[in-house]
Amino acid sequence: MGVARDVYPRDGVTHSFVAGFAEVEVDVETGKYQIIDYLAVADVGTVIHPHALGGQVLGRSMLGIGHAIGQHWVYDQHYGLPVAKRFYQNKPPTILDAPQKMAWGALDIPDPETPVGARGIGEPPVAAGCCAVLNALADALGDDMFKRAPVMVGPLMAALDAGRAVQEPLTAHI
Amino acid sequence: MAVIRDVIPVFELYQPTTVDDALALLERHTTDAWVLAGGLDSMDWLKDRLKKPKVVVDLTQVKPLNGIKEAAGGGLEIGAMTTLTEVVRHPIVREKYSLLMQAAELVASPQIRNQGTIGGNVSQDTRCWYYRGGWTCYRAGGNICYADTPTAINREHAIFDADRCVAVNPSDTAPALVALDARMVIRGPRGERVINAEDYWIGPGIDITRMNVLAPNELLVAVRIPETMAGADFYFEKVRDRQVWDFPLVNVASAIKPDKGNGNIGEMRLVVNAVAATPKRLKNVEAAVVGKPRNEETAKMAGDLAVEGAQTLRFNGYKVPLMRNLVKRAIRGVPAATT
Repeated sequence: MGVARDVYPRDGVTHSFVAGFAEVEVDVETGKYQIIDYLAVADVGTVIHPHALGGQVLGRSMLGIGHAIGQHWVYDQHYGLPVAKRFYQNKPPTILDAPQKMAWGALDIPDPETPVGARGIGEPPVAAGCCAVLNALADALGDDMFKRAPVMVGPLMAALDAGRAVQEPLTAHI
Repeated sequence: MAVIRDVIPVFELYQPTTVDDALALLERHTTDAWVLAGGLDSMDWLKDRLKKPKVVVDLTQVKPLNGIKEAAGGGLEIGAMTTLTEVVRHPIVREKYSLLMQAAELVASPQIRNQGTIGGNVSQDTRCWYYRGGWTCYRAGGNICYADTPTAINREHAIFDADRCVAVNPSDTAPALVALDARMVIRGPRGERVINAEDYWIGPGIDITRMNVLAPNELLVAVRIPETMAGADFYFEKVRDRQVWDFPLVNVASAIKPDKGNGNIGEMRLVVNAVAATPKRLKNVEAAVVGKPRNEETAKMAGDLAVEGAQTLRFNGYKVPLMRNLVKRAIRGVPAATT
């Protein structure tokens, strides 16, 4: 059996990693979708406090899921002024937007770079949550059905109707 | 420009206990007065200091406006100040008019439904974010529509019946009430008038500053639901960005009475909202589907007919296929089977 070993310098700088997995169900007649299952696995060194770690992994995943499914700023492109100023317009996720099933795991491999073997957790799950959902959507619908996050009902419905993305790439937050 | 938020401008608060007293206050203060029901629409306006009424007439103490009772000639009379939660829980609403139950239950969130009233939900102002953001558009007394420019962000705006203003009616209960053939009971200085629900809302072509027929000295006091569509086959669906606490992108309400002989569509009322400034009753579709079976063929024909004449803006083109598919579902009664 071959053994691979990283060549990172032993300089006390640590990196945390999280892998996210999502399953989505898209209503192709309306463009609405639900995240029916989500799993995040963290490689963050020794687990000191499992409960708090789980809260961080799933809580921050939810932040990323919010970026994937709807949370946004909206600016008028001509006047440069925000038009979405209240929560019902910015659409942060609600508890019912959370995946129906959510689970987390941790590798619990001690990191020799830190005194107790633990590494940081907090923001790493954000990208895992966001990208897992976007990838699941791309897998369900095809590669060219949306061009940017958040993926909301409007652009998805338009793409489902046209058979391809009809969305403009990111030029302003809408 | 500094914007002071969450500080409500000074006003005189009146809390009348009878409809007559409330009407007398409105008659005295006319356009200086603001009618407060559940406060879900009002508080945004007041906290943003975009509306600065001199007088607020709070209806919460007018007890006769509260509650649901069975009308003498059959049907229900729902007081305008009845909360959406009470509407959802009422046994007769659930038994005979479950369309309204479904619609009311999809409004916003449980907390908002505990506070929001049926009268307020149907009479609420549009949620166009330019207008609500204090932009001096046509609806706000200016001379431009900021939502209908080549660069405007207008994903939530109208695909039908725009007339200078492209804002939509955001109510969920409104289309259900039109589908149930409800009547709106309005009291004013000259007494009571009762109008059909579908005549309650007005588009910008009639008055660009108002969403409904209420004059400044009038009150919506009750909604009457006749027996016409009691116990019919109902379909309500609301598509929104979030699973809860969101306005509709498009919603559909339909009531179908099957033909007693062959089970085909005997009588139908079909209404879509959030596509125009008023709930849009699709009479042409209703006429076209009567006598036809509730199958895919009829659904497709109805869906295509429903969106004829739609005019889209830069970001709201998706509302056309969305509305078409919702109408199809209303005819079918179920979502299409997919893999």
